[in-house]
Amino acid sequence: MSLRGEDPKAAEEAWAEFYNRHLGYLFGQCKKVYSATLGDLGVSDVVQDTFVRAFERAGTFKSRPTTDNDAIRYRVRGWLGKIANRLFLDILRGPVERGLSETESIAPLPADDGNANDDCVSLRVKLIRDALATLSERERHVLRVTADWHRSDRVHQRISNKDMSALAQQLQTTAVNIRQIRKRAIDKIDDYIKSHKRPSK
Amino acid sequence: MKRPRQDTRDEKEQIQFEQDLYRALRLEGLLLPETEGEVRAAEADDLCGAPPLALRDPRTVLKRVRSKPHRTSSAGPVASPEIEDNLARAAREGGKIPPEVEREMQRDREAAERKKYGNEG
Repeated sequence: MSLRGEDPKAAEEAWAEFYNRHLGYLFGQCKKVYSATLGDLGVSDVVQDTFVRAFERAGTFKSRPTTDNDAIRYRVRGWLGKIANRLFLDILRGPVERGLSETESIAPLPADDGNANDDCVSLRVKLIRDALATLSERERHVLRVTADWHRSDRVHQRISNKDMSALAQQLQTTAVNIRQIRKRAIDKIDDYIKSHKRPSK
Repeated sequence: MKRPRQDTRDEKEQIQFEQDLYRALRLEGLLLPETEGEVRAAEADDLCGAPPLALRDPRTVLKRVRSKPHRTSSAGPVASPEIEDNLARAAREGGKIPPEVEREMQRDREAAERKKYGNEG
């Protein structure tokens, strides 16, 4: 299959330009964030797969009209980050979830809201970050692996038993235990937020 | 014996909490940046380490795309004009597209669609 019936060479050049422009950033970030979990080879796989998915899903990339090159670069890289995170979480969750989210993991970029509140990190997010530091390594890992499971665009917000079983196998424990660890971690975060939130006057 | 706490959050609150948690994990560096602000901050990081040789040639990745036709089956044909158009746009990254080029692209796209759907119908 050619990339472009009329001008495959131009499409290939566009692809190479896109790849070269973002490879350094994506590789650096993936190495920083994923290498402890995936190792160097795993990082390379995620980087490569991310570009492959981006290539396959380039049609879902929507950029609002702007002449601000920096803004577009941030947006493109954010989109690549989103794809990489889905791939990474799929790897952590194991084969069942990977198969399930084959289409979800390359979901289109959400409608552009202009990221109006992007720089305004809510107090709760700040407190959650602080609270994460108080959790055990295992609790943090379970939260990380189960992150993004509750998405507003999903019909079923709960983690299915099948997915949970796959994850339990991955973590060498039981599904019940995973749910308990997650619940305990969330409760700890809640307690932390309650005890550190200033009462409104 | 301590009884498990009941979750009193409604579904909307639960989703908002999970989104905040997901964002906190990204800001903590446990996941990659996804928003413009996060990417801006991440770019300021001085990350060292060049990509390995195996990743440096985009054509190698392209070959991989072509050698795995099953990957594209769920994503639709790669030859979609819209995809190519967006790839090219993404590659240009804000390079200004003159109106005449924009019109030309639109004509190409419509012609390709006519050709594709005309042949199918």
